[in-house]
Amino acid sequence: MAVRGANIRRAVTSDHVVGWAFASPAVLLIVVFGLIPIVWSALLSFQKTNLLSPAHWVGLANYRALPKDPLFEQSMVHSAIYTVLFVPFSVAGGLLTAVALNRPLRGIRIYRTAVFVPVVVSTIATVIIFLWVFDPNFGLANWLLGKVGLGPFAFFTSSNGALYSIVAMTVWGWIGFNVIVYLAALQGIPRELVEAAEIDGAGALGIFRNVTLPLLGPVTLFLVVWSSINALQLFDEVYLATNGGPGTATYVPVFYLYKLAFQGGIAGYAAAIAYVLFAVILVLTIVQLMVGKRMVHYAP
Amino acid sequence: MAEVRLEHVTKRFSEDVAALDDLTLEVADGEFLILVGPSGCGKTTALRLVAGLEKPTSGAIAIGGRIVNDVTPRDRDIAMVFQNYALYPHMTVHRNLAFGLKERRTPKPEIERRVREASAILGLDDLLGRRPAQLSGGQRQRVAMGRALVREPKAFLLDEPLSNLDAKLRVQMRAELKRIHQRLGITTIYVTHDQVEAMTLGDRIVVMSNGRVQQIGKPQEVYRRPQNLFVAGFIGSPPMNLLRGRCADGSIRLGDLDLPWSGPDAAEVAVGFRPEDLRPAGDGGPSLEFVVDVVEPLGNEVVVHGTTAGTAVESGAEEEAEIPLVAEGARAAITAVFAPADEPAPGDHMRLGIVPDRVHLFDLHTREAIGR
Amino acid sequence: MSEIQTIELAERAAEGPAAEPKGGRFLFSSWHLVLIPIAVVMVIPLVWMVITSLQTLDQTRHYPPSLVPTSMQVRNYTDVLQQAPFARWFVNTLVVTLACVAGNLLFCSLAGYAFARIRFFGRELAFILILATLMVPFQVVIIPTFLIVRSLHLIDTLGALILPNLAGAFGIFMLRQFFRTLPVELEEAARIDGASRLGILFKIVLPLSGPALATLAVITFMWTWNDFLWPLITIYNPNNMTIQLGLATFQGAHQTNTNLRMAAHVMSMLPVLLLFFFAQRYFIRGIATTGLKG
Repeated sequence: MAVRGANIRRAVTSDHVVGWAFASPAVLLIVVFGLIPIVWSALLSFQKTNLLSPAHWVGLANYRALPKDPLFEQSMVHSAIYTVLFVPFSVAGGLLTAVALNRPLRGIRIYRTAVFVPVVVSTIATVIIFLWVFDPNFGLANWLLGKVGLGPFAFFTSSNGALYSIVAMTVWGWIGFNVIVYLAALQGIPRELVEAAEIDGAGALGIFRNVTLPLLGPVTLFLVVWSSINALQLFDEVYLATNGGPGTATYVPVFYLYKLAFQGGIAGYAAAIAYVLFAVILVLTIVQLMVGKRMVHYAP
Repeated sequence: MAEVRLEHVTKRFSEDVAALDDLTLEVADGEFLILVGPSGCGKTTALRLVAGLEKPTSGAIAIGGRIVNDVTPRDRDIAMVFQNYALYPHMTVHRNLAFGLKERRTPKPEIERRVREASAILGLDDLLGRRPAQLSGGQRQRVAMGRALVREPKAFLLDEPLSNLDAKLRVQMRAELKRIHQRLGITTIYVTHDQVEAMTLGDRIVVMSNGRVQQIGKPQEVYRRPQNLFVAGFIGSPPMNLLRGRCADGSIRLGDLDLPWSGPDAAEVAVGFRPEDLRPAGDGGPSLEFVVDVVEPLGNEVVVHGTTAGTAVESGAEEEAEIPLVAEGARAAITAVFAPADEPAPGDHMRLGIVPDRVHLFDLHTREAIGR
Repeated sequence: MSEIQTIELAERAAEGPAAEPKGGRFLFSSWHLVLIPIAVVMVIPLVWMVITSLQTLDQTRHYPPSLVPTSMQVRNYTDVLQQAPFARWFVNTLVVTLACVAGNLLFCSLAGYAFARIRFFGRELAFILILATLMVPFQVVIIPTFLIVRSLHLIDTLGALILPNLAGAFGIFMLRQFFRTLPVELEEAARIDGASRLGILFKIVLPLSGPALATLAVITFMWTWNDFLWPLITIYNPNNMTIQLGLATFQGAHQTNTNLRMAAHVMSMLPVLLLFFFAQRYFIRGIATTGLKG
C-alpha cells in the first residue's frame, strides 16, 4: 500500500502534471479570449457576416473592396497625419521635459507628480476636460489664446481643427509616460561619461548632443515604436470627443471598423480592416526597428 | 542514518556532454565523504542527484538500501546546506529552522525541542528572532547548518558551505563542522573545491575531474599515492612539481640528475616531487640544480619559486589562467618549501636535494602512476 | 530594447530621479523657468476641472472663464449622485476591478511560476503563444471576443467585463520575469525541506515578490478602472454599466450642465488618483515596464 501511495503521489507531483495544473487556468482564459479570436478574426475577414445571421465565404472580396472605399482611405490619411504629429511631439516633448526634470532642484517632486498625473487620468476624463478647455465659447484655451491675439478657434467642432485638437489632447495625456521612461534612462547614464566630457571641455549643449542623446538612442527607438503603435490604434478619444466628426473629419481606422462591426453589422469587412491595420503596424514597426538599428548604438 | 550508494550513475544535460559519467560510489553509514575537484568536474551534480534536485540519465541511487531514483527530495529524508545558504529572507531564524519540520507536520512541541537543541549546538539562541538580512556571514552559515540539523535526516549534503566565509572564519567553521559530525555521526557528503577542507574534514576523499572519479581514498593515501597525474597536480598546495624524464637501465634520468629505479622501464615518464620534499642539498645525495626567482616567506615556512633544467609536465589540474613563472628556453618552473632558516635570496644558484622514495612516477601516455 | 532592459529601466524610474537637495540655501535655478510652465500646462486642465465642478451653472457660462474658485457649490456632487445611478456604477466598477485584480494576481502567479520554474511538456510553445497575444492589437480580436462572450450568455452582465480579463499575457510575462530573478536555491531548499510546488509558491516565492505583485495589482486596477471600449461594446443596461461607460452616457444626457459633468468625473477619478499618490512607485514601475495606459 505504501508503495502504491508513493506511486500515486509521484504521478500527481510529476512536473508535467503540476506545470499544466498551474498554467492551465490562465492558459485557458488566454486561449479562449486571445488566441481563438485572433484566428477567428482572420476567418471573419474572408466572410460576409453581420454577427447575427449565418456567415458565408466571400474569399478576398473584403480586402479587394478596401482600396475602393473612400471612407477607409480617409481614415488611413487621418491616422497618418495624427501619427506624424503625435509621435514627434510626445517623444521630443518627453525628452525635453525629462532632461529638465533630471536634476536635484527644490520642489522637483511636485514638478514630477504634475507631469505624471495625466498618465493615470482615464481617457474619458481627459476628453471631458479637453472638451471643456477647448469649448469655443467658454473654454480656457480660447481665452488664453485671445490674450496673445490668436483665435478664437472652434477646436473639436471645426473640421479643420478637430484632428489637431485630438493631437494636443493625447499628447497631454501621453507625455508623462515618455517622461517616465526617459527619466529612468537618464538615471542610467554613468556620471563618469558626463564628467569625462566636461573635462574634455564640452559645453552643456555639446554634452547633450554628443553624450546624452546617443546614449538615449535605444530608449528613443523604443518610444518611437511604442508611440506609433498606440497612435495607429487611436479610438477612445475619437469616439468620445468627436464621434468621428465633424462629418468624417476625424475618422480613423479603428473607429471606422467599430462603426462597421457594431453599428453597421458588417463584421467581415471590419475584420479585414483590423487585419490591414495590424499589417500596417507590423510593417511600420519592423521598418522603424531596422532604421533604428543602423542609427542607434547600444552600450558595449 | 543510512549509507548512500551510487551505481553507474550518468547525468547528461545535453546530448554530447556528460556532467557525470558512470559514477559508482558508496558512502558508509556515518561516514564523512568529500567530493573534491575543479569547477565543472561534476561534484555538485553528484550531490544534487543524491538530493533529488536532478534526475539521473541512467544508473541507480540508493539511500539506506532503498532505490530513490523516483523519490522526491521531500521523501528522501536528506538535508542540504547550500553554498549561498538559501535562507528564506522573509522568515526569522526560528521559522527558517522550523520550516522543514512544519512542512512534514511534526508536532509543535517536537519542533520546539529540536529547534532549541540545534540552536544550542550552534549558538543561535540569541538570533532566533532575527531575519537573515540582520545576520553576519558566519551567523547565516550557522543557521543554514541548523536548518539541516533540526531535520535529523538520514544524510547531510553540503555544497561548498564554507566558500562564502572569510579565511579566518572558514578555519573556525571547519573545526566546528568536524565537531558536529563527531558528535552526531550522520552520513555526510561534502562538496568542495578547496583541498585543505578536503584533507582536514574527510574520512575519505573522492577526487573528480570531467565527470569521472580520479581517485577514492583516505586523505593521506590520496596525498601520498596519487594514482594519476591529475590527482598529483590537484591535491597539494603548492602543487607537486612535475618534470619530464626517462627511465631506463635501472635509473630515472632527469636533467643532470640520475635516480635509482627498480621498477619496469617506460620510455617517457613524468617525475613528481612535492615542494616540501625539496631541501637545500647538504650532503652528497641526489640533487637538482635550481635558480631562485621569487621568495615568499610565510613565517613558519618559505615558499621558493625558481627554475631548473628540464621540461615541465601539465597535470591537467592547472587553473585555466595560470601563468608559469618562468618559461624561457629549456628551463622548467618548480616550487620548493624550505624551513625559515634556509630562506634564499632571489637570483641564488643552489642545488635541491631529493629523497628518492618520495619521488612519484607517472606514465606520460596513460597518465597513470607507475610502480610502488 | 529587450524586456530585461525595460524592466531595469522601470526599476530605475521607480527609484525616482536625483533627490531634492537637503537643507541649505535656496538657490533659484533657471530650470524653474522651464519647469513651471510645463507643470502649469499639465495641471491647469485638472485644476480647472475641479474649479468648474464647484461652480453654479451660470458661473460656468461666464466669459472670460474664472481660474479662481468663485464659489463652493458642493451641492453639484450630491446632485450628481441623485441624478445618475452613480453609486451603482461605482460599485459595479469596484466589483469588476477587484475581481480582475484578484484573478490576475492568482492566475498569473500560478502560470508565471510554472513558466519560470517548472519544466513541463509544451511549456515553450504555450509561452510563445501567450506572448503572441501581446503583439496583436485588441481591435483585431474585438469582434470574435464579443462573439465568444455572447455565446457564453455574458453580454450585458458584469461577467462580460470580468471573465476575459481574469488573466492576461502581460501579467504572466511580468511575473515570470520577476520569478526568474529569485535565487533558485531558495526553492530547492524548500523542496528538500518537504514543501510541495504549491507550498513553495505561496510560502517562499510570493512572499518575496511583493513589489512585482503590487505593480501588477496597481496596473490591473488602473487598466480595468479606466477601460472604456470593451464595456461600451458589451454593456447596454445602465444598471450594469461601469463608471467610465456610465459617465459617457451621462455626458450625452447632460450636455449643458458642465458643472455636474465635472463633478461626476472628479469623483470617478478619485480612486485611481488616490492609488496613484499612495502607490506612485509601483505605478511608475508598471508604466515604464509596460507602456499600458488606461
